[in-house]
Order: sequence, then structure tokens, then C-alpha cells
Amino acid sequence: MTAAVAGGALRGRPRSSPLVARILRMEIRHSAFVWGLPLLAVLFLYDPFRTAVGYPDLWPLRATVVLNKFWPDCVPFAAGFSAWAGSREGRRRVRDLLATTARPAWTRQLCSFAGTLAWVLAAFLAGATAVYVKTATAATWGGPPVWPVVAGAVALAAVCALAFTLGALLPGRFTAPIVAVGIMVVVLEAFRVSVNQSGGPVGVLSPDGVVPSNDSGLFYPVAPDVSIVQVIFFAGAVLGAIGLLGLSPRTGGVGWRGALAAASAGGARLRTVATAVFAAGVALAVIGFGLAGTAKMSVIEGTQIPLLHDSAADRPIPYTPVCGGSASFRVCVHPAYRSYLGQTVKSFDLVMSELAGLPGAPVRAVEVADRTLPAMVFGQGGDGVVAGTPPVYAFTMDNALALIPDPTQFADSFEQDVAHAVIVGPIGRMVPVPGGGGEQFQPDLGNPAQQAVLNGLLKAIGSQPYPNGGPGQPQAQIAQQAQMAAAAARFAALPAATRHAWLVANLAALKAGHLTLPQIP
Amino acid sequence: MSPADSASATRTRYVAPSAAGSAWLAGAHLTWLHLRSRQVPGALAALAGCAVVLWTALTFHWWHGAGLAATELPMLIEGCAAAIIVVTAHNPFGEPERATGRWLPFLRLGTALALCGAAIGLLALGAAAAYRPQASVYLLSGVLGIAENVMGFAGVGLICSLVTGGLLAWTGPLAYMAICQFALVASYSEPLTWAARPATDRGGWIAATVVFAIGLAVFTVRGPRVRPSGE
Repeated sequence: MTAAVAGGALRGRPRSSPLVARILRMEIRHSAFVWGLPLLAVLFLYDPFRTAVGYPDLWPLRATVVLNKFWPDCVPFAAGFSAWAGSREGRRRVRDLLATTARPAWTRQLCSFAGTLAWVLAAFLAGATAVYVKTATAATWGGPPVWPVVAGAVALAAVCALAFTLGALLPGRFTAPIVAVGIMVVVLEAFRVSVNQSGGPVGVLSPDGVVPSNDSGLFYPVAPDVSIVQVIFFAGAVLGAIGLLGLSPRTGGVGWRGALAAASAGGARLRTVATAVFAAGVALAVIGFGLAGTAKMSVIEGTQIPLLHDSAADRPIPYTPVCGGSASFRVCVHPAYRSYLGQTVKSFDLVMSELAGLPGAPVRAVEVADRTLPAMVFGQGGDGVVAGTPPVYAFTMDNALALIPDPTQFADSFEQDVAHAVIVGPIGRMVPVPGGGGEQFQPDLGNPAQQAVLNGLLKAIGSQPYPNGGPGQPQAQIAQQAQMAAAAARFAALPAATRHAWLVANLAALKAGHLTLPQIP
Repeated sequence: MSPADSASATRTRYVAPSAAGSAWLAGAHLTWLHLRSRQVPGALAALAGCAVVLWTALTFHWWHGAGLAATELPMLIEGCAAAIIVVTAHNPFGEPERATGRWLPFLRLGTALALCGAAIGLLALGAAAAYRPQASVYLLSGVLGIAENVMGFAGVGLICSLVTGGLLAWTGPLAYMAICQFALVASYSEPLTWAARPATDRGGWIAATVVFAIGLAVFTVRGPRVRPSGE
């Protein structure tokens, strides 16, 4: 680097861009980040890639791995190697020697910073590309979201800039690991705030956050509000750190004295530029922080920033459902779930063979957006409701499809929902909380006879018993558990045709609560 | 190599030892010079800083979740301590130091062991200072967890120093710690991610101790890589 600068000086005043390009190329070639690449690759394969491959093959969901898993993986490396590069001149104690070169320290440092940043961004983009390419081979609808990658890249640039400046300010052999761990602690704390959803700007600005629901970005677009605010804030942090680097005398900068006087002596132009960059950075960071403070959080609709939110983005995304199943019972799902259609259709086969033709039994099943279902569906951990005339089972894949899909659980929840709707009725209702303070969900588990028939039927088709509501259920029913289990076992042991015939004859009385446990065959 | 590092290490005034205790005095002097050349006093200050951060983290509940998830932040601090320890492996004199005598491997061994002991002691002190079980303020993994992680991470770093050199050896413990962090979050339990297992897990202890023993042995015998750039 020194030789290149000296060589340039000997040839008079070279054009700055080729000189900067040469220094930059040299910095990229000699960057210590290369040592971190194999470790980062191991980490990438171990965690983000493995996680992404395990997730349901939905673009919006798998793309969250880029920020929730891969971004924090990159942080210690980005911070450590940036601090390492930033502390280089101080660590080698060559700052005085380099002060004699023709170019200002800021130019030199920015080239070094850019060299490290180039590697960091290349590694981040390579990882994101690998996740996206893998997703593209499996996803059946949609395309790669760009905002997570943009926000992650800018946030990583901010991590690099901050770490580089800290390295330049406090050079030493311990600086790099301490800065890396320090920034990781901040990232972990921001993640904690984000996951707790306790509100406040820190949780919104944390790139690493909660995993959204499966339906996120499928029926309604994901608003880019949060990503925009993150980009504003982290771009401000980048500029602020770079400006600080140019101003601080500790890093070879022009100094703070006269920072506001553009015409002051001693690197006036440099001081003006550094001051402007620093001021712009602080302003952007403050604006980003302020905007993040106005965020409105919603589990279903995500986080919105009112000042940035485009209400047009709330319009549903048009799609053509894909359907399967028999003519008597059609099952339609969003095209993003095309690969799960066969499994979904199969999930209804057994339960519909038991319930078909009964009053209240659904004639088809349709997947809908999670936000269109009543909140009480999620309160009971269900997947949907049977409603309308003729009855239709409207369901969501949010709960049905776990992050690590489990085919058994997938079928169980549909079967429980449909059987409960036909034998007992609605899953519950919202009731006022005693003493005021809003409403709470009160599940309707049915009377003992209904529960016995429901669980007997579920047992007969190999499904799990309906969730009994745990300790919240009435004491009288807890005392009757053994009798209900015996009645359920009796009912399950009946031949399918006998069961169906009994239901045809007695379902109305059972739903009306006129039957008791001994009356169950 | 840093000229200033070597200059500061050799700047200490040489005092001729008396005939009686010359061997001990020379030994102590040599040890002190070795420790200074490795910036051990700075490392001890940084380790004390780690202990203060651990105390603060415990006192103010700086973590998310309960159970093993509560060990995330302490693990970060233990990783930082190990990274600081392995960075002291850097030799500012370059290759010529290897020709200075037979005591060098013992000095390397002693320095690494002493720093590991100091790190475990200081972090345990930080945890003990914050200990308030009635307010649920205590280190879940206990001193056992500190010892296991500091030794294991330091072992990874010492092995790493043979490849990257002392100054970049911090990459090993930090990368390995990151793997353990995600193993912890995702409840993976591979045998080699011992830090994601409970501190009382025998398999974890065996893995950590073996890695530390191997790291210490090869580091003692070979020393960190000396790169042409001096770094």
C-alpha cells in the first residue's frame, strides 16, 4: 500500500479513481477475512442452510433464514475482521510513517474498510443466494424477497463500519475479539427485545427477530416498512461511523476543532466532507430510530410503520387455488402449498368417510388467510372452522404445518377440527374477562357424551384425542374421565358402518345434549 | 512482527542477579519478559472486564429464555475470554525466538494454563458477586460450565493458532462458539457441541477436556504459526 501510494506520488498527481481502485484491489487481496470464510461456510451449512431446508418450502418463510440465522452468523466475523483491519495501523504502530504519504488517512482507511466490507458482503450474498437457489428448486409459488437481503447487507455494513472505527480508535491485539463479542452481545440483546415483542424501536431495528407465520407474504404482501426503517437506521450508522473515522485525531483524522467552519485551515475540504458525512449519518440514524418508535405490532399483519405504510399494500394478492380430492369433497389450497395438497387431501379421507352425509358435515375444505379466521381458532390451537351453508371447512396452514413439518400432526389437527365441528359444534366463544379487561376465549369441549363420541371417532381413525383444555375444564368432567375413556373405547371398537348408522340416528340428540354416557353403544 | 512490541519487551532494565539466587531470579525475569511480550497484563485486564460484564449480565437479566437458553450470554463471555487467552499466543519476535532455548515450550504451556486458570477464576468471581438465588440471579451452568467452556474454547483457539498465527487465533473460539450458540437455540446435541449441553454432561466434559489437552499439547510443542508479515 505504501509503495503504491509513493509510486503514485512520484508520477505527479494521478487520477484518484485508478489509484483508489488499485489500493482497494490490494486490500481485497490481502484481507484477513479469507481466514474466516471456511469457518463461516461451516457455520452456514450447520445452521442457516440446514434450517432453511427443514422449513416448509415457502419463499417468505425460508427467506427469513437470511436475517434470522445467517445474518447473526456473519456478525462476529464481520465485526472481528473489520476491527482487525481498522486497528492495523495502530497495532503495527506505523501511523506516523503513513502520515507522510500523499493521501489522507481517511482515504487509506476507507479503502481498507471497503476491502473488508467487500468480502463480508460477498459472503453474505453468497449464503443468501444458496438459500434462495435451494428454495427455488422446491417452492411452487412466489419469488425471492429482496428486502431481507438489502436490510441484512446494510446492517452488516453498519456492523463493519462500527467495528472498523472502534478498531481504529482502540488499536490492539485484543480489540478484534472484544469488539466482535461486544457487538454480538448487542445483537443478542436486540433479538431478545424483538422476540419479547415488548415494543420500542430496538426490537423493530433488530434484523434478527421472530419467525413469521406460514401465511406471511402469501395472501397479503409483506409490508417493507420495517426493512426500510432498518435500512435508514443502519445507513445512518455507516455514515456516522465513517464520518467519525475522518474526524477523530486518534484515527489520523482531521480533528474536531473547527469542524463546523468550512474554511478553517488544515484539511478544510476533508473536514467539511467528514463533518457532513457524520452529520448526515447521525441524522439518518435518529430518523430511523424515531420511525421505529412509531411501529405498530400485530401478530397477524406484522409490524407496520404508519408514516411509511402504503395502505395499497394491504390488498390481497390474487391467486388461483389448486384443488384436489374427490367430487364429493374437494380440498383447495393456496398454490404456494401445492406440494402439500396430496397430504392435505389424504388428511380428510378418513374423517370424511366417517362423517359424510351427517348434518353439519363440511362439503369441501378451503384454505384461507390466517387473518380472515376468528382469533379463537388460534386460541384453541386449531386450524380452522366449519361455517356457512352448505358447510365449508375454512382452514389455515399456520398451525397445521409446523416449522419442521410432521405428517402425523398435520392430519390430526384437521381431523380434530372437523369431527369437533360436526359432533360438538363451534370450538368455543369469546367471553368477557371477569372484572373487566377485554375478552378471553372459552373453549366448548362438549358434554361428557359428546367428548366420548368425539374421542371414540378420532381413536377409530387413528387420530389423537381432542385437546381437553387442560386444567381449565370443569371438575365434574375431570371426575368422569375414566367413564368417558371407556365409552370412547366402546364407540371406537364398533364397526365403521354401525358407528355411522348410530350417528345418523342420534347426532341431533347428541348435539342437543340429550344423550348421556351410558347411552353410547 | 511489531517493532514496538519487541522494544517494549526488551526495554526493561536488566539487573544482574546475585550469585546465590541467580537461577531463580533469571527464571523469574525470563518469565516476566515472556509474559510482557505476550501482553499478559493487558489480557488479565480484559479478562477482568469479561468478569464485570458477566456480573452485569447476571444482575440485570441480559438474556432471553430460561433453561439452557439462559446460558447463551454467559457462553458469549466465556468465548470472549478464550479468544483473549489465545491471542496472547502471538510472539512479537518472529521465528528467531524459537532458537532462544529449551524453556520456550514450558513458558508457552505455563502462560496458557495460567491464563485459563485466571479466566475461570475471574469469571467465577463475577458470577459469585452477582449470586442472589432468592431473586433468581445466578449462573445456571455454575463454575463447572465456565471451566468447561473456557478450557474447550481455548483448546479450539490454541489449535487454530497453529494455522492462523496467534493474532488471528480468536477466529477459532468465536466461530466454534457461534456454532454452539445455534446448537443451543435449535436444541441440537451433537457430541462436539459440548457447550450446548448441560455443564454436568460427562460426554461434554470429555470432549472439552480432550480438545483442550490436544490444543495445549500441540501449542506447547510447536507454538503458534509465525507468518512472514509478523502477524
